[in-house]
Amino acid sequence: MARRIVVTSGKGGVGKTTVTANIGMEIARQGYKVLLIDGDVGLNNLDVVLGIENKAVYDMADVLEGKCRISQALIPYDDKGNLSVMPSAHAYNSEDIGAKNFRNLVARLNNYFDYIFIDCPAGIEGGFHRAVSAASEAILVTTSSVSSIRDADKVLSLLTSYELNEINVIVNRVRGDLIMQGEIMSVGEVAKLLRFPPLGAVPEDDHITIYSQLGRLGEQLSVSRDAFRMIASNIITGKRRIYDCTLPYRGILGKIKMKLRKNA
Amino acid sequence: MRSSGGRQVFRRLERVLLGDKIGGTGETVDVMKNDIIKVLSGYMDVKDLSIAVSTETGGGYSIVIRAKASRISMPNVIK
Repeated sequence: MARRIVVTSGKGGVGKTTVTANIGMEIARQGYKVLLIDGDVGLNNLDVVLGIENKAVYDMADVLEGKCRISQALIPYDDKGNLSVMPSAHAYNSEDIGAKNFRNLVARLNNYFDYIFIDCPAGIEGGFHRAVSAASEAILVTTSSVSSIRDADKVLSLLTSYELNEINVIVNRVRGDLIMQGEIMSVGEVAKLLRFPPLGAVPEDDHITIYSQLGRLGEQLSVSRDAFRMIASNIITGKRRIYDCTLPYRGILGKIKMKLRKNA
Repeated sequence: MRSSGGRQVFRRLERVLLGDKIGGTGETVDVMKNDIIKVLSGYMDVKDLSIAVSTETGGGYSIVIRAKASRISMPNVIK
């Protein structure tokens, strides 16, 4: 029986899709069977971030319409066969796929994977409901920006009305240098505002932007990978080890780095 | 020198999020806070007061009022 985890945010552009992809990859690297479902019908991007857009012959809509078997819509991502991706339908309107059909689809996949991650669309409309109602747990991704936190707070309130076993928060794109300077809130303060303990923190990382635009997210080996590895381990073990995004800016070298970044 | 920008943002957001939950503005929150402080002042010297509101499953709110006091005193009971 898989743990079905929806990755949501409320606000768009906080890095939900890259977080979903990175966590999925890290858990799969640890030997678990992982499926990533692109729940963003009509505005799907998971395939393009992972560079598998040309491998998608069938998608979620084809399965629901009975045009193919469920296994034909699963794209294997890694050589070991631990990570698979189910793309959503780009040509579809979000409303064309109902919550009940989506839930049934996820339920059919339940026995074949250890973890199923659903990349939720931004917003709190029908697509949000469809994705959350198929999940048993939720991860809310936010940045430390005021608009992102305000939306996250609203989404957290909505999530509590669903029957979810766990709701966790990940603070993404954290600027450790600005935290050190006291210019922005720390990860702890963001969690305190949202009243949910953080599952992880991911530092702002240009490599994510560069590698995801090339569709080679799986190849990036930067600092954020350590943060994602830590989050993956927290999900598996239930522990709460949080990556310290201020670490690169500590000590003399850190201060120099901070100054250089400020002047850049 | 370390900036206090982050701290300011925290306080600002605290008010915004609370305002969102109770359907009012930051000013509404201040009025509510002042009224609660007024009541509590009869029993203690309030140093700091924070209100946390969270929505509950199936509707309704869970409200936590946390007050810090420098001194607690028994009220003068008028007979």
